[in-house]
Amino acid sequence: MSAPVLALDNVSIRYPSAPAAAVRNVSFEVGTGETLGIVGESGSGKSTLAAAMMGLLPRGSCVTGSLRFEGRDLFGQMTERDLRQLRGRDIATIAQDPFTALNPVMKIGRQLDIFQHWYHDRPRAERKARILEMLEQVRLSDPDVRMQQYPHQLSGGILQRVSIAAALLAEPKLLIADEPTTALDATTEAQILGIMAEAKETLRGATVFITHDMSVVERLCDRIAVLYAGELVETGTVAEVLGNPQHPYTKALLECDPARIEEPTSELPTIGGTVPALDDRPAGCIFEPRCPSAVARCRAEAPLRHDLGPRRSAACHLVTP
Amino acid sequence: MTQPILEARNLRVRYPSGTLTDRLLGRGPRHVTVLPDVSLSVEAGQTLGLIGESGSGKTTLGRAAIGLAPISGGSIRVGDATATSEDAPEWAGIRRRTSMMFQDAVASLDPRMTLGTSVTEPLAIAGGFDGNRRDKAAELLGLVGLSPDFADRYPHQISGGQARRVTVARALALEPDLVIADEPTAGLDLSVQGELLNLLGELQNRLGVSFLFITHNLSVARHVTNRIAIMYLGRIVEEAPTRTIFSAPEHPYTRALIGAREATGGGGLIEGDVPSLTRRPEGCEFRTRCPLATDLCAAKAPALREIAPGHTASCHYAGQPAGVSHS
Ligand SMILES: Nc1ncnc2c1ncn2[C@@H]1O[C@H](COP(=O)(O)OP(=O)(O)OP(=O)(O)O)[C@@H](O)[C@H]1O
Ligand SMILES: Nc1ncnc2c1ncn2[C@@H]1O[C@H](COP(=O)(O)OP(=O)(O)OP(=O)(O)O)[C@@H](O)[C@H]1O
Ligand code: SF4
Ligand code: SF4
Ligand SMILES: [Mg+2]
Ligand SMILES: [Mg+2]
Repeated sequence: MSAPVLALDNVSIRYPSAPAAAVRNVSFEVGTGETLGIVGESGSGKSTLAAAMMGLLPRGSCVTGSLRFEGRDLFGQMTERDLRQLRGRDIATIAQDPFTALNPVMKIGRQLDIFQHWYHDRPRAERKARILEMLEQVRLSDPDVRMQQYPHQLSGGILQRVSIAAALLAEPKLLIADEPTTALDATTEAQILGIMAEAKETLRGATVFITHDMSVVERLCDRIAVLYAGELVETGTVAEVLGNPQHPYTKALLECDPARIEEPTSELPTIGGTVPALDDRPAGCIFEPRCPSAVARCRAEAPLRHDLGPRRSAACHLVTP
Repeated sequence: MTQPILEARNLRVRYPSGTLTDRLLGRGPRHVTVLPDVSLSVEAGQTLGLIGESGSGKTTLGRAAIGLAPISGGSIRVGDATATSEDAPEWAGIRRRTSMMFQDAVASLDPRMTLGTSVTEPLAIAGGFDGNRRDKAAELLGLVGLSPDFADRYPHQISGGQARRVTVARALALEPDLVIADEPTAGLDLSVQGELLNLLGELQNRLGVSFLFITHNLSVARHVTNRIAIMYLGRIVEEAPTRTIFSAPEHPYTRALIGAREATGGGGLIEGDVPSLTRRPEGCEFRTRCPLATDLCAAKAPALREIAPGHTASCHYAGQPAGVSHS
């Protein structure tokens, strides 16, 4: 792999006033042209990582380790001004919550215009045409009407597509998409994923795709990182991890996928138990209280990351190379 | 059979369109009709899935069912109460037995209230609750897999999936008869999603709760709904038992939806322009994208009709043996 666009090394993140870190010792890299899928437990730190990549954590958060974009440390060397410029130019995000992502008092058309900053010196008509074309691409009905509307007048899926359009108009080097298709119906989703796959070809950089939907991972991602309770438990190519999961959490998660269950059932599989509270973490493996394969050692000692091949690893005592 | 718990009859909902200035100056149409004429019912103790294209009007229908959308025609009946406008006096009674899980989970939580206060708020409003509010909050949060310490947090201090779960807990506080669940599992991991769906199923078995279940997730709908209604451009285009929708869909739009999920890479896509709410196509409203459209489809709008017992569809060619439709 050439120099990675994004490289996280041992990143831990603690929110102000939180009793413990929400993300612990996470490391991964995303190369040029690559799409990394991040999956994992609700509350496991996916959006926290996304916020860190954007330099958008709440004031007073504590970050250790290093998070590099094109070799520059986002937390070490950059001023607030550098970060803002980076967000405006090189890194774009599609936020998890489409209802609060946009400015509620500004018309959609104006908001979108702000995103196409590379084109600011072009004539108004040309910029408008570019926005209209993008709105059509994301399959919005009545694009000209939409430009004149405010966010509260739009449905969840329409807002989500406006956010996707905004991110694509920005032509970023790093695109962070946090569950960008949850509010879309199956046919629209298929079309949007097609557009994103195309954009991947033309974008100059890398994509991080956070999702709970394994079929989306299969369709769009090259590599995958599995998070559990703030820790990276497994990583590898999509084929490796989905086809041959090694960590017990990954295995359990995949078994819960209703899409993989043939006969309709009213009793869906789940992983028993709940995630330990932030201030009540087990001393050994974080997954031990819920792990069906746990052995005595798991309670006493936290497992290290075991390398299973180039850029393939899992953090579990039972995993051996 | 007993009468359905929720019934929408010839429901019509329209929003003012454009900006106020546009309206005052008489520019463009004054209204956009989102639901032209919807009839739909949820049987007591059952789950009706509502599925459809993004922007087709599902949330509007769900909100209208508790009086939160501008109703300009038709009626909503819940139990014995029938309302025919947004400001009907019947809504207060309807809302006492109906809960809404809003699609915009984060926005539906008051940012200044702790989550403990939020989830027990319906009890306080309804009155008559004399237990310990803290204990009740912990119990409700526990139902959705959140530890008691969440009761002291604020909405901006939790993850998207955690916010979704808080709104589910809040909707269950009053043990409602009817729940309008708008994308209740969006943003949840597969295990939490399973837990939540099992919880809803258990409530249904134990208390006979009925659900109008709005979702984009076909794999979820396949497991938890009894019947499914498919919406396109604000109209129900097909309705049938869940098994039938998946095994023998009759409307071309339903077929495309089911196909999109099963196909990987490009299959099941609908070609053609996305139709406009303000300039609805004449004849069949799906014809601009329908692979089977004929001259008849442009000339005449198909009616929603029964093509088999309990199975309705609005397509001129629904219910005909394959092949005939291409004539
Ligand atoms: N501002 C905050 N202050 C304190 N804790 C927070 C804050 N924001 C999030 N958290 C906590 O940090 C953890 C990680 O949250 P994050 O939003 O990153 O999860 P996530 O993996 O994106 O989950 P989801 O899939 O539900 O969106 C959660 O337990 C959450 O409650
Ligand atoms: N307050 C409003 N003012 C004007 N138009 C509105 C308003 N609320 C909704 N609409 C329009 O009504 C249509 C239907 O919206 P609705 O939210 O019901 O769709 P939906 O089927 O729930 O879509 P999604 O799956 O994306 O959530 C959309 O075109 C939307 O822009
Ligand atoms: S280390 Fe032990 S408890 Fe942890 S995942 Fe592996 S087997 Fe399970
Ligand atoms: S009536 Fe015609 S256009 Fe409409 S769905 Fe049927 S075949 Fe397609
Ligand atoms: Mg998140
Ligand atoms: Mg909606």
